[in-house]
Amino acid sequence: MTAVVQAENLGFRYGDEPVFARVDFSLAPGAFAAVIGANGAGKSTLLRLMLGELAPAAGSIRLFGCEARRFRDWPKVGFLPQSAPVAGENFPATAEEIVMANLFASIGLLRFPRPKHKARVREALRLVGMEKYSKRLISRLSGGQRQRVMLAQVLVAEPEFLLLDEPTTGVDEAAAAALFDLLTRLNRETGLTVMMATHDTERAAAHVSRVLCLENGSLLELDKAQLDEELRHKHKHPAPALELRDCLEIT
Amino acid sequence: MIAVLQYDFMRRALVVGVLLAVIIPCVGVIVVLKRLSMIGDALSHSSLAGVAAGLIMGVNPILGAGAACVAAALAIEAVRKKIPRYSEMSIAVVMSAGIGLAGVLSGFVGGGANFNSFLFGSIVAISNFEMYLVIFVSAAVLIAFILLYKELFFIALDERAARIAGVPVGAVNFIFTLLTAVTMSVAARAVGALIVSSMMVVPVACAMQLSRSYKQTVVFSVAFAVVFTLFGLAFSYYARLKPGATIVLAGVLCLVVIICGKRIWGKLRERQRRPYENEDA
Repeated sequence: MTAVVQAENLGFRYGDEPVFARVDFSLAPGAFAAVIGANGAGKSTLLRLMLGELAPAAGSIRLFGCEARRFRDWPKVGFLPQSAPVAGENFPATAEEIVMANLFASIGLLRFPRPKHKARVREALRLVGMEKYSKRLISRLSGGQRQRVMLAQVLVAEPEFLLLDEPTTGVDEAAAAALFDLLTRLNRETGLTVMMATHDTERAAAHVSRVLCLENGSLLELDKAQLDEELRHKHKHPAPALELRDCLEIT
Repeated sequence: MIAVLQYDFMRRALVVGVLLAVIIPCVGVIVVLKRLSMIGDALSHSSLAGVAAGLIMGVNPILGAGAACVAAALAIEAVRKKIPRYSEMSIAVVMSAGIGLAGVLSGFVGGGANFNSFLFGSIVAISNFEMYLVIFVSAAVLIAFILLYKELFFIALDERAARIAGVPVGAVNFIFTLLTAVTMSVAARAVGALIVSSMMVVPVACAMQLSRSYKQTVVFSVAFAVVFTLFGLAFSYYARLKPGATIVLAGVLCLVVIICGKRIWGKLRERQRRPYENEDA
């Protein structure tokens, strides 16, 4: 079975400054993975490499078996950026209009939405519990509600692989918990492959099947039992969060 | 208003004014939402360089303005791509270059009356050729705006997400840049290069105060612009004022009234919600 995403000997640097090197990992269809690490460790950079926005300095990264830079089947990939809760904060558009925008591939260039597209928008909003807010301006919604609308915008295109960049940044505790529950449900019920960059190690440990740790320029996979132990340690000594000795390098 | 229309020049002014009132806000909505409101100023000021060049070379100044606007718009887009985080800098650079060039070239234009008419516009002095040009440009802009409605909306909302979803962002942005440039060049002649950007922003600002969706924002912007234009033309005729400036001032006045009205309405509603609190105080 083709891996959804596969990195081989992947390296990246901004100018002369290396971000990470010799990164190897692959994600099978239906996986739910979290990438954790300190600020500046390269979590967002890794996601941008997957999206083909950056070119690797070494090695390769493939999406559905194709080099990310050459990948064209973007409707298969949904991406929720870090700024999603503030996106459209002052934009004069309803939740429904924002979700409909992402049906571009289905509607087609220079064409107009048809009733089936409107039904898909309603379904996506229902999935994230925002159906009754469909006609409301995005600026009139709370940060958590905006986050769910942006998630509906991604889900409406029915992606096979969902990428999220720190989706709980800027949303309250309840909204963050609801988001993790929703992602878990989608992953289990629809087989959606999910990968997220997050600082929320505790929630990630409770929900995801794999935890990848970017630290000191390497990507390492944390064993779940060790991660739980590390989290207990974190509660006693809040910083530093994770130690390298507890990370198992992926080969 | 009917009495005003007995004159040919006023009928032409009405046709041109209403057409521009329809297309300028269509372009303006996207410009405002992309946070590039100053692009109107940069293009209209650059159009003056084209006007001056046209007058020097004996070419129709509107065609000169159109060429200068297209060149300026493409330059802005090119610089914006190079430094996306400081996109507003590209506007300032092109505007400075446009004003500088217009200033230098205007010194070579014999008899400044024609050149000066572009500064504040002269909608009542529009010729038949210019009216047909406005009709052609308006039709092109309107058709393109309707066909690219969802693409322009998505790019204005989130250019990156639009690219990932498969929208040909580069091509759509290029077409939109051209539409903006030709709109500004024909509008500069009618309402004036110095104030045409207000026509782009003020109706949209009014609409955004009242609208409850993107579609409403577009419709309200056009409606506001048409009302301002009709009022401005009629009022300027009877009060013997410059039509372009009167149209813009009517818009600004309306915006102030809407903002103040919203604030007063909000306070009244708040007071209605807390009657007992107020009595206690």
